[in-house]
Amino acid sequence: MSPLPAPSPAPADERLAGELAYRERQHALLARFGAQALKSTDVGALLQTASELCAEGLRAEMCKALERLPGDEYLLVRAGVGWRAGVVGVARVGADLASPAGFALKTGEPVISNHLGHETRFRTPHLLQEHGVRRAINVVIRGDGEAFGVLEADTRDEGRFDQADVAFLQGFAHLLGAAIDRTRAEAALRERDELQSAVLEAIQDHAIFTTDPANRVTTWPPGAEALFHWSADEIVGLDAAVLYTPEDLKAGVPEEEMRTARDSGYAVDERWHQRQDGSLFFAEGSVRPLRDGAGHLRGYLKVARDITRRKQAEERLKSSEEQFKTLANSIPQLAWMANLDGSIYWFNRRWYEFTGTTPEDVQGFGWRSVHHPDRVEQTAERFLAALEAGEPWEDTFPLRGSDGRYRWFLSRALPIRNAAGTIVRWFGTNTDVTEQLEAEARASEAERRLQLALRSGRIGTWSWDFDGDRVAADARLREMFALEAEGPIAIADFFARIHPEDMPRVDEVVGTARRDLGEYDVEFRLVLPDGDIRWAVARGIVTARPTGGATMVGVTWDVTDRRQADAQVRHSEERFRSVVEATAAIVWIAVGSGQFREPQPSWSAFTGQSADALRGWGWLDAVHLDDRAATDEAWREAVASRAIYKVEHRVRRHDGEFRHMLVRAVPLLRADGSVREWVGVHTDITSRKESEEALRETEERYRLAARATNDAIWDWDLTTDHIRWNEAVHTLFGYAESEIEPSWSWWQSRLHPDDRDAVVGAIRAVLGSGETHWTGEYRFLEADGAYANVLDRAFVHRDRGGRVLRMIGAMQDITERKRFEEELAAAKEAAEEANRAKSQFIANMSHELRTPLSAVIGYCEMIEEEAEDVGAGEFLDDLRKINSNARHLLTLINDVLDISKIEAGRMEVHPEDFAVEPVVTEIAETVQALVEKNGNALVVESGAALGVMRSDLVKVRQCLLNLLSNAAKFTEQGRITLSAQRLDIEGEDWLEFRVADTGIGMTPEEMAKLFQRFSQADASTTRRFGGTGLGLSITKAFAVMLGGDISVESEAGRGTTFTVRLPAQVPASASSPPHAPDLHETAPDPESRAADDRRLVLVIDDDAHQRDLVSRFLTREGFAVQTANDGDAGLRLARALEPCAILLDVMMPRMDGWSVLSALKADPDLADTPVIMITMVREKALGFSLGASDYLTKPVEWPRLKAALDRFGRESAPGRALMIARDESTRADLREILVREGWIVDEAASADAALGIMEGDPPDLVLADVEMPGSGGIGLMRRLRKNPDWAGIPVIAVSAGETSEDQRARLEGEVRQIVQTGESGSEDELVAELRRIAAAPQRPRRPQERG
Amino acid sequence: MSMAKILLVEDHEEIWDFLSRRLKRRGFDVILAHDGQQAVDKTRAERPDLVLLDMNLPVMDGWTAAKTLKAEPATAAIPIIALTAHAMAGDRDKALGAGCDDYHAKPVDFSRLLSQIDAALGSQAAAP
Repeated sequence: MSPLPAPSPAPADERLAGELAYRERQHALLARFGAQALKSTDVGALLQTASELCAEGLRAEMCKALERLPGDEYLLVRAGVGWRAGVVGVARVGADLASPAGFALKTGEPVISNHLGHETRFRTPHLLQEHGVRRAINVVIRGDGEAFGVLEADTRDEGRFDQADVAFLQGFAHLLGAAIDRTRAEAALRERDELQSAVLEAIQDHAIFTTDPANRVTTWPPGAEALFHWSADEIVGLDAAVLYTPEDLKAGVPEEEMRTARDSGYAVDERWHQRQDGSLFFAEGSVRPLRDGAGHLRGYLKVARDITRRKQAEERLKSSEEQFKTLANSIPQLAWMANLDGSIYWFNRRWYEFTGTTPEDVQGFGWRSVHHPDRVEQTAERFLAALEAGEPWEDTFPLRGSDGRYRWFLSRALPIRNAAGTIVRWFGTNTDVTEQLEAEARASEAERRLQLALRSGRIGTWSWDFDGDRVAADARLREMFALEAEGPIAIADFFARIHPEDMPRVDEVVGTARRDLGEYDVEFRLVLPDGDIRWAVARGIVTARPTGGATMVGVTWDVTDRRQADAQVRHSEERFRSVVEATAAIVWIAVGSGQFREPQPSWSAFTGQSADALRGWGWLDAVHLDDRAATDEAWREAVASRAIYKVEHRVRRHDGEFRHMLVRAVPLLRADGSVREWVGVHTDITSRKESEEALRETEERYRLAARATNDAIWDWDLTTDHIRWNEAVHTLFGYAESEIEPSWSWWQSRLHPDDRDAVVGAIRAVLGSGETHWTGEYRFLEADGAYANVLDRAFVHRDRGGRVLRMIGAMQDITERKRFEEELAAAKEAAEEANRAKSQFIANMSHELRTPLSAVIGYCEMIEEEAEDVGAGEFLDDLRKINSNARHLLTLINDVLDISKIEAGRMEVHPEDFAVEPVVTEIAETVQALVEKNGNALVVESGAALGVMRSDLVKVRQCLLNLLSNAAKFTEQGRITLSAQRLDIEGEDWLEFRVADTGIGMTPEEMAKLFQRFSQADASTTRRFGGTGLGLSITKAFAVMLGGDISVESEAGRGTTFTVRLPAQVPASASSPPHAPDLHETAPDPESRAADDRRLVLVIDDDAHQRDLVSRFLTREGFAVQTANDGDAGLRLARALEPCAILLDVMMPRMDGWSVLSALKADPDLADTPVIMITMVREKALGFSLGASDYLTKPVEWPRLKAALDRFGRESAPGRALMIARDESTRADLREILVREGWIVDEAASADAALGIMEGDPPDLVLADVEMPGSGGIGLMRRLRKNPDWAGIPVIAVSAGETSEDQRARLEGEVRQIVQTGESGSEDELVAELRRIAAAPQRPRRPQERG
Repeated sequence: MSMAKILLVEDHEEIWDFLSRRLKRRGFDVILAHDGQQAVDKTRAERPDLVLLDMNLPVMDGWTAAKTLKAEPATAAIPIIALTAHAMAGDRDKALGAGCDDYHAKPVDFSRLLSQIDAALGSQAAAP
């Protein structure tokens, strides 16, 4: 293993010596480079040197230093030797792991490649290939940080590099790494220094400079120069003391600062400093000690900033605040300063003097304590609101003084703003305005009084300057004269208002006053522009002016009211007189003793008594004899007690009729208390008396009536909450008189707790709604603690304003009725239950009976066989009889079982395909023996091509066997014919079976009962012929179940023929029994439904016969039919099949037709399916109100059913009709017609209601009764025509009575047609019109389509 | 050829007594079970050629027994004729739904039952 190139073989020691020399040389080169690397910071030069030395040391022709480029994808040849030109500084080598250099860089491991041509680990970089390199070493250049690059030695020579070579190269790389680290660090340091000085220089408003420990300036950036006006050249090296004021220097401030800085690490330097030119500025700054790593003091860092302006401002403020406070303390007002939150931080002296508080008391919000407690909240609220808004505040309120008395202060506060306009505090004052307020109050009171006096007296003041003809008048005077409130007024303006009649007088008085310079006083009338005439008095005085001329001043007031009052007095006297006369009253005056002394014209006029006759006690003669004693007594008593005399008595009128009079008299007393005279009034109250009497009579009658009824009648006066009861309340509920409280609450407390809320709520609703009737059923507590069932019917009595006055009701005890109802329901339930139980019992029992019977038959048959086998023939006959009887018994049981199953709806149909002919033959064979028993002959007549039928074979067979055995039973020595044929009846495929006999036949009466259960021709038949009597019922039921029917022809003594017709295909519905188990509960196959394009009608009827009839009719009419025999099944089928129409019976077990109808209409998917009720029950209205589309009664009129179905077969309803008629029965009639025609009907009882509906959703048709109240039908139609949205809606007018020519003329053009509902044929006319409208191809489109 | 083996499942003593005797008289090899569980067990153990299965059985009813047998490959091919009480609506479908091959409504019409047995055994024999 030689690391050396070996040109020739050499001896070992020579080789060793060569090796040693080689290594020593390497060490020398490394040492040399180490010395250089320590000194140099030139990385490029170091790399170049390293490349050269390495090439030399490794005897490699080429060496290079590669630098990692950003992105780590390439290495750049930074330096090198031996490379062709254009490589160093330019060439790049891939830095991925696939190149030796890249691998070394990425892994940090040295890489030796001694056979680059055969290298499998790496590809040989292009650069190396180009230079013919065979061998190479790569080591990473790395210091403390991340790798710098790679140092690579390359040679074209054969040979080997070994680990010592790697160590050599790695040594260079380490030296390079360290050198690179160092140069990097130095570069970074330099950069930071430059940055720092740049920052310092950039700071202009701060002086940041350093001194040495002796306070000599060492650095002086531009900021310091700008501040102190010293240049760096001038000051560096000088003692920083030059920056201080002489005073501070004298006080040793600089030393003090430095000491503080040294001791505490920081000293504040806030003081005046001196510039180079001797000017001062206030500096805010600091001093920090600068220490080296060992903690030795190296100097000080000083920072200073010029805050002179701020300082000056602060000092000015301080002094001005002081000044202000001094000022504020000297003013008489209370003054204070508040923070923005309303807390007060300063008060002036006056405040403390007045309030007697201390600063501690009122600091912050303590000011509240001196405010009046009643007003403080309001004041504080306003004050804080002003502060919040930043607006000046002003308020007047009392403050409590030190003496405890409140004085009023007008208080103001203003915001104080800083230079930026921001509010910094509030300054406020309180000025004592107590005296002022009092004076104002007094002044305003006087003023008010004057104003009041003038106003109430309507006194105006004026002055009239004769010379200028100018009048000065106050507002009141102007108002009085109805003159303009402002502007000059001439005397003529006043005179123009004076009544023409009064004017000469006024003129005269004024003239005299002017002439004599005297006073004047005149009363005159004013004629105001509105025609009002008022009386006025003017008083004035004329005075001469010293300068000549004269002025009249005066007042004028309105005396109209006074004059009116005078007039009123006169008027009231007259009125009194007329009132007395009008009320047919007597007014009289009696002396104190109660006697008439003077003539009483009023009394005389009424009674016809002369003045003489009535004098003294004579007037008593006119009083009714019966009333005299009482009158006399009352009168004497009143006279004695001098109290008001009040009595009622009858007085004979002049025509002899006694009138009821109410008498009132009052004593007029003298000053000494004695009665001077009596003034009395008699009022005629006869008619009042009469009506009172009438009322009493009515009430008595009412009371009697109430007593006569068994109902408890209550009369509740809502104004007093008093309830009056009749006597039935005792008899009905057992309450004693004393137990009944005449109040609503008593009644309410006796309601059953479960009923109370509902009943009370209902009554309140009635009272609140304006309704007049209420009916309720509830339980009412009886005296014995039981509850009675009560039906209560009441009506509400209201005044004209609709206010409830009374509510009167009758409580009827329906306990008994209720009980009957309940018993009835229970009995019905029990009966139904019993019926169900019976059916179930029969089914079970039959089953139980059959099991032992099976055993009997089984054993019997077995014994028969065995008897034959053993030859015991003598038993055979008896055994056969046992067997035959057992089988007969089994047949009977089966019949009973069948009928009970039919009744319970549990009989099933199992259709299967079978050939008819063999069945007929088989049946004939079966009954052969039976027929022959009575000496009868059996004839079978099978028609040609009976073919195959699909039906329930078992039932078909049973039907025929029943009929045949029946025929055999009632025929002797005759002929029984069984015939069968296939028929086409109205396009349908039928099989007809006939069983004809020549037997006893039947009467029509017998035939009528034929198919009834348990009935035979007569009781004797049973004895004679046996049987259960169920056979024919079962046969009929089976025939109907199979989609067919049975009929009979008979004549007594001539024989009977039964005909059974069955469809060749049993209808699908017959095979899906409603109560079948799960297997049957499958939805119909949708495909099969789609395939059947006939429209499907669902028939729901419990009567199989009816179902069959209807089904056949519908099938013939081209409908597909499904049937259901009860409501449940009907609903299920309806949901599954979604038929186009449903025919529904009402009377059905379990769930009746109404319930089914409601359920159908409640199902959103089915609600639109037309439902035609077919029923015996005539409850049309109920049907329509529940949503039935039509209503047919049994027996069905087929054409009507067809018409109905044709209508519903249409795609959709013709539309929505709005019907407007006041009369409920008219509406009902019209509704029926409309519904039958397929319209959806909205109803309105008034034009307004109709318009409401129209606005919500315009209909497709309007039917209106022309005889409507209010605006009427005609008015409504006009309104419809006016609205463009409605104008296209066809309108039909209906009229119950004759329409006048006039009406017709007005309706012409407004409506399509006028139908008179009363007329015959009117319905057809209406229907025809409805159909025309429905069929109209272009009906007006409504603005909004219904969703 | 030996006669077919019939498992008669019937809880009513008189019925199974006379039925089994009559069937034996016709030469059938009759074994008996009196409830549904026995029916299943015996069918598994004895592999009868046919099962006459009453439906209203104690322990396990006939429908369940039929379903169980028809669900097991070893017994699925054994024809079952359901004997049902005619009184119950839907019996026929219910029996066929449970997997029974045929249906005979009680009371037993012996000759008809025999023809049903023959038919069932015949189709069984004809089956591959």
